[in-house]
Amino acid sequence: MPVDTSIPVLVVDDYKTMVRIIRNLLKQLGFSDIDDAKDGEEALEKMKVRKYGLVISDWNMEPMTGYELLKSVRSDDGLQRTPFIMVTAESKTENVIAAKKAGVNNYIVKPFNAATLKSKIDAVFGE
Amino acid sequence: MANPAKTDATALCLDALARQQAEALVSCVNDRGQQRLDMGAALDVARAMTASLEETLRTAEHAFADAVRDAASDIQALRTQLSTLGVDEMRRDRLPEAGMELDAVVEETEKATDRIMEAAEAIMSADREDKDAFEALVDMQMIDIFEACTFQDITGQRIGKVVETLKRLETRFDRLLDALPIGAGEAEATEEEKARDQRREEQILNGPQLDGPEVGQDAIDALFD
Repeated sequence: MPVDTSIPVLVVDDYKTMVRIIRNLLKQLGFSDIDDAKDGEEALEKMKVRKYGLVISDWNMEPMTGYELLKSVRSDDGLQRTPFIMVTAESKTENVIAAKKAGVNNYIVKPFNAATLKSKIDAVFGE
Repeated sequence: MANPAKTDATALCLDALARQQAEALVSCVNDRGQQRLDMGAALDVARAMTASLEETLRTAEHAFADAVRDAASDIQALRTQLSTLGVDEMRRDRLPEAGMELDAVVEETEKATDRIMEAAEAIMSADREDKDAFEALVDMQMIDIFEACTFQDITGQRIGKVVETLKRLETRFDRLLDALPIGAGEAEATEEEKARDQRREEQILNGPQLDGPEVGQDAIDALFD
């Protein structure tokens, strides 16, 4: 079954350019309902107001990192089932293992391309 | 030749010591009440006793003077070395300039990226029905992308200047360390730095690796299969 591209997606990154790149790639993949947040704190506030079908988050942000956001989402009864993809320049083994342990659905290392983003979204939704 | 001030200091010290000992002697003998000892006699005895200390005291005084002289010489060498390092120039001009150059690099990179993204977005959202108009738009946007890419030349030059400043700083630190008897000590981190380090550790913030990703996407994918 193809991925439902009508789901609202939340892109979390403190670099406006990266948000713009991911937005454009998502648009190319058919997603149209795309929201963004500049850090984990803002993302969490938005997630408490609106139910997102997918979160794509950077790791290195302040005041709340993507790792903290992931752990907060997974420990919140209402949000814990939200699919979560980490897109980050953090490429050490300890980062990947920590994210997996915290419940991330997939992990993309920057720099990445459109095909990688697509394949990870497909993998998350079991296609 | 002996320094008169130092000789006086030794003599004064010995005299003070002799007086203290004489007073103690007078007090001790007179307290017993059998015989009275006058201060002059006690002082003679005490001076005779302290005279034996003079050589030791003078040796210590010379050693102390040598140590002070060596320290003064090291301080003078440090001052001379620091003056040749151009620390003032570094602090006043080069380091602030390096900071400004890097700020400019960030700004120019962001502007260029924006311009390239705008061109790409214009192509993405253009009407493709009118082929001639679409082709003209693509040509125009491609030129804009090429122009935007000229930022690399300028930012490359700016980064080159910063690298030169860092190399100069490194050379001067090396010269300073070579010239001074400084051990390999660790700098004490400020509270703010300690808090930042702790946060980086807790949040596993390693940042991008210099030689590219430590774990490639394929290896990561294998963990999620």
